[in-house]
Amino acid sequence: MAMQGRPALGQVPRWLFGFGVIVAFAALGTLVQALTGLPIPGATLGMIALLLLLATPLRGWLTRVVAPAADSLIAVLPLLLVPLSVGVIGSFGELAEQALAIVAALVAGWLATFLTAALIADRLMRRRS
Amino acid sequence: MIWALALTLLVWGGASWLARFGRGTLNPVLVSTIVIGAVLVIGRIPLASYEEGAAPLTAFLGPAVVALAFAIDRGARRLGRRLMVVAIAGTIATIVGAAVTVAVAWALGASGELLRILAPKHATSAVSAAVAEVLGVDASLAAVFSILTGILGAVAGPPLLRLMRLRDPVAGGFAIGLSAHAIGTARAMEEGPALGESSALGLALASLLVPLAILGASLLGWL
Repeated sequence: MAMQGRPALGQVPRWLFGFGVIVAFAALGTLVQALTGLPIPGATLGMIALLLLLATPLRGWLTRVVAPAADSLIAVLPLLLVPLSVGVIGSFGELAEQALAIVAALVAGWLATFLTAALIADRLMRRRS
Repeated sequence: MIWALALTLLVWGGASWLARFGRGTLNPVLVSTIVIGAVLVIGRIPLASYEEGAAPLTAFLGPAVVALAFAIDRGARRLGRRLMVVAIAGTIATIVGAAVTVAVAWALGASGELLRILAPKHATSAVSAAVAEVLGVDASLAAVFSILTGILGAVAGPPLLRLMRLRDPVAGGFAIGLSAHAIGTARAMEEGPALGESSALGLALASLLVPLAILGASLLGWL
């Protein structure tokens, strides 16, 4: 897929089309969420729908046309979080009030998730192999 | 308002470059947040006008979550039958993590509203904010807790893995992605493609499992 020297015609339109497909899935998920009131985010519903389509014969087409845009989006995901993260400075007051509970819950919750996932996955993998 | 977008992109570029020297401690999301926050405070710029200007970036969070379907699909193909193992470990870890988070916060006297804001923090911000919105609590605070969790996992995860001496690289990367989502995954990718890919799978699974776990908890009347 490396573009050598001249820009390959068709790459950019294909990327944009794939991007459009992804945004459409996100929009569809949001619409379904709004209509049904499910306590699952619209984006997650869109992801589930795309995942289901990836299990059909459409997979080849989706990987060819949509995957490049998807990879770009996943690569810049941390950047997309920065504006939300900057929003912390607006919540300092609320955070300070219950700071101890928050910090303890953040650290303990992360450790519990991390250690449980790592140890169970490691044990089970060893048994399989 | 476009200056906010320029500021974010330029600071991010600089922070990503700087991250190469920090061996994981100079997390680009953390550094960018501090620098941009300082600019806003020093320049007496209201947060709302920054957020309005940076909204184009935030708008792509939903599509980025949808894109994670490809990470799950690829991980599933690569792992084959071992995907079941990863799915079981992920489900248990997601439930244990959310339960420990809520239990610790509750024991230390956090309000009921705060518990609901904390519960989805092991999903990426886009998902946890949306879950909080559905639960009717502060979405931006939920996003903040996700980001803090991600930074914690990105900084502490890889050293902890070396300490634990796991035999399976897939298990380690998966644990980082599941517990520290996008920010942890960006860090795992620096460590190598094997760790990065399994971390992306963990990140994607968490954005699926966390809303399902919260849905289950709310159906049972626990939240």
